[in-house]
Amino acid sequence: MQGRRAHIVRRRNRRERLFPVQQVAAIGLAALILAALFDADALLEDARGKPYGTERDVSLAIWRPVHWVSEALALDEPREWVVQELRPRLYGESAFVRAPGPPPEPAGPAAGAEADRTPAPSAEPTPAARPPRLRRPTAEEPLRLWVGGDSMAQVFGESLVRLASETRLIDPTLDYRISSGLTRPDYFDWPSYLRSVLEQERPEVLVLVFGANDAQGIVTPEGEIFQPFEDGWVEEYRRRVREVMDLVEGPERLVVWVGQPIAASEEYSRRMARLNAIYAEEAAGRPGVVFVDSWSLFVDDGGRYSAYLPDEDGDIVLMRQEDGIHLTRAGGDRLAKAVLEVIAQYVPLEP
Amino acid sequence: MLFPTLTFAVFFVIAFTGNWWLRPNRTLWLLFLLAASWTFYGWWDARFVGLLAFAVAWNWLLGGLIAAARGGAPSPPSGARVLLALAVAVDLGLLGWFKYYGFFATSLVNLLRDLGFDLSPRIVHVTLPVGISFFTFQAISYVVDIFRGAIRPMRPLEFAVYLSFFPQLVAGPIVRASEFAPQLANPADPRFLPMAEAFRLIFSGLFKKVVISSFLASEIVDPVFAVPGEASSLEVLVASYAYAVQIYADFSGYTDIAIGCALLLGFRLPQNFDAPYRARSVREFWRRWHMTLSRWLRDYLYIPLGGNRGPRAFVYRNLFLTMLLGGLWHGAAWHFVVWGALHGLALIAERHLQERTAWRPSPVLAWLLTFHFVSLTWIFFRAESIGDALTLLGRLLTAPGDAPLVTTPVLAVIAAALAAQFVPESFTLRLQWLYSRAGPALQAAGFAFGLVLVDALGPEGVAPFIYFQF
Repeated sequence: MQGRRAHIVRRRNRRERLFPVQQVAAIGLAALILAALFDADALLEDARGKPYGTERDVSLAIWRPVHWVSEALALDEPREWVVQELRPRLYGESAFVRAPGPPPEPAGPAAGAEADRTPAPSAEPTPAARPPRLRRPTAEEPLRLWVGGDSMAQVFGESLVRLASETRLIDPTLDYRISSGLTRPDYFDWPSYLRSVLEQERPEVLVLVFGANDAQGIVTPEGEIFQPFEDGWVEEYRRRVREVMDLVEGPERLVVWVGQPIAASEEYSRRMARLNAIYAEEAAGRPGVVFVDSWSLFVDDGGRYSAYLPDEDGDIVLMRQEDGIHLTRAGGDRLAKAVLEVIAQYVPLEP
Repeated sequence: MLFPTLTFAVFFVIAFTGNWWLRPNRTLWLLFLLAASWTFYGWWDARFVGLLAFAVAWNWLLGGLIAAARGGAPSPPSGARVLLALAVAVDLGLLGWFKYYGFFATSLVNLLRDLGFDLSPRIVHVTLPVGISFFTFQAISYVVDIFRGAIRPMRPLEFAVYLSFFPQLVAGPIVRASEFAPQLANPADPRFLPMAEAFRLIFSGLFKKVVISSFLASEIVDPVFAVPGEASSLEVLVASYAYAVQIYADFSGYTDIAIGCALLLGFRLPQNFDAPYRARSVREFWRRWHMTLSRWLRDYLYIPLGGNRGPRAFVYRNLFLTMLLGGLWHGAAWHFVVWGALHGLALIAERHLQERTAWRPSPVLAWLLTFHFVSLTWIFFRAESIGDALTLLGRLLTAPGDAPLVTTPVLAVIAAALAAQFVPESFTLRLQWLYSRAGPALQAAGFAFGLVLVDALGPEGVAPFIYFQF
């Protein structure tokens, strides 16, 4: 009791100052304005990452001048320091990277941002004319499998990593980036990231999932903006899919391109169906790229969306998350099993 | 609306301004607080607001009826009891529908199929409204307290603000009417706001949630729990420590932000966490962890079950049931049930040792045992299934090997977070005192730098709070 009383007395003596509401408002507002100036780099970056349209234009109109002032007064320095000096010490290079950080620079003489933009001329072999030949994996030298893509690759990728590991013949790596895709390389540049993955991880099987965030405005190399599914949009998106397929296809590598499943929203599903058609068409002529249709794995008897579907044993289980887009573990397992079956057609996975 | 977003910052500036501007006109002020709270909630899904409005109307109505049936009688008449049962049944019915419908519907369909009745119905995927548990618990405490004669019915608008108040609406603290109503009746003095305390809470909450929790999740917890069969013993052990820190940082971080924001609006919400990993017994842990839920379970579940009265076996049963239901509340899944049951058993074992034996572990041993019990049981809580949890516990003992996920920063963050639990409160108060004495320019710059530090160290994009789903 003695100690407790002493504590109360001390507390009273040290009582913090209290402030009138006007002063709190002034200090709070000043803090928020200062924080915006300190954080201008990130705020402008966020604004740039928005889909092309009015909201993005308005955000840019707000944050550009703030950014300009911040730079002029060198107020962006503290953040810069934290990002450059503190962050790298904290975050390791784990196989499961959530934060869409900058892609690691490819090793070798061609490293650097400039080299990223122009594809290295003959770094990749020309597409194979026959199905890829994969070696027979052993427990000592397991098959190098790499799975990546947008947020749809998360749960599915985890399931695939589980299933693949169980074969004891596959060494899987999962690397997904939330909110990424092929439409906005300014947000995350998949082609150049994949280039460094090919070089460093040398995957023998590459499983890719794109599209969930891709039905948004796209900019052509000429700087023209097209909205989803206009002719110019389809042409540009198709070109990018082709570019990624050209990049990843190889005579000794299997590429499994996983389409987007049906979703609860009809509008969203229609968009995903159009993207799936592009993937399937582009994969069709390539012996090294297999398109896996995930759509039909998640429809009911009537071909409609259903969050609950029967599993292998016929039990009804929840396959989809509440957003009506992403998969639950059961859904991820179902898709992973289908993908592993495709891989097994190319590689003997029975010991 | 999520706290650590630009949208919330803008929303809060408006809410703060309107709150103090309209204070002189009581009705306008209350209407504004209600509108702000419903806007906040409707940001997720506008349909949720209808549910909240129903909860407000229903519980206010039944609260009034119970009070009328009760009158001034020392023990409530049976009419009041029936009304109370009705009120609670509807509240729990709604909660149960949204939380457990999918589980029961699929269980029933699958059971019938096993018995030969193939219905193959289309099961609707029910969206769980965020925070439904929290306002349901507050509503239940309101009608029960009226029934017990502990409080008087509130006016409709005041009750609506109490149940919907946005800082605590979606993840607690679970506030009682007896704590909130007086603050509406006698609003805080606008000349004396605890700004230093509020800013400190908001900053520390954001730091815990955005930096600590996300960091541990992405660096070790998520990878280990996603693929349990691949983790080594050391990884499982450190992941269980890391998850202990993660869920504390996530949940108490949210509470800190909620309490800080409420302070700026002139309301003081009850504390929800008191350095829980300092606990030297499981019992003490529950007095320090999610304190407003523990208190709620004690007052509205444990005591009605019989509490500490009666033969020892009864008391043990009450303890066990309370923890079991507390576990089940987190979700209709067996791994939550096991988690609750293990805590129930631990409480019983502790009581038994305390009352029937002379064994008293030294403080250090007691702390070690408690912390490891809590951390290892979190594995059941976090795992996707009992099978996964058992795989992890098995690997804890049988999977030597490399631990690439156990890095120096991960260990440092866990150690620092645990050490922070032992920092005396006087140190925090001292810091607050210093901040409150600094000049306004320094105060603004300090808070601004804190916000930027959080943003620069956190991951891009904000993960929702763990406790929204419960």
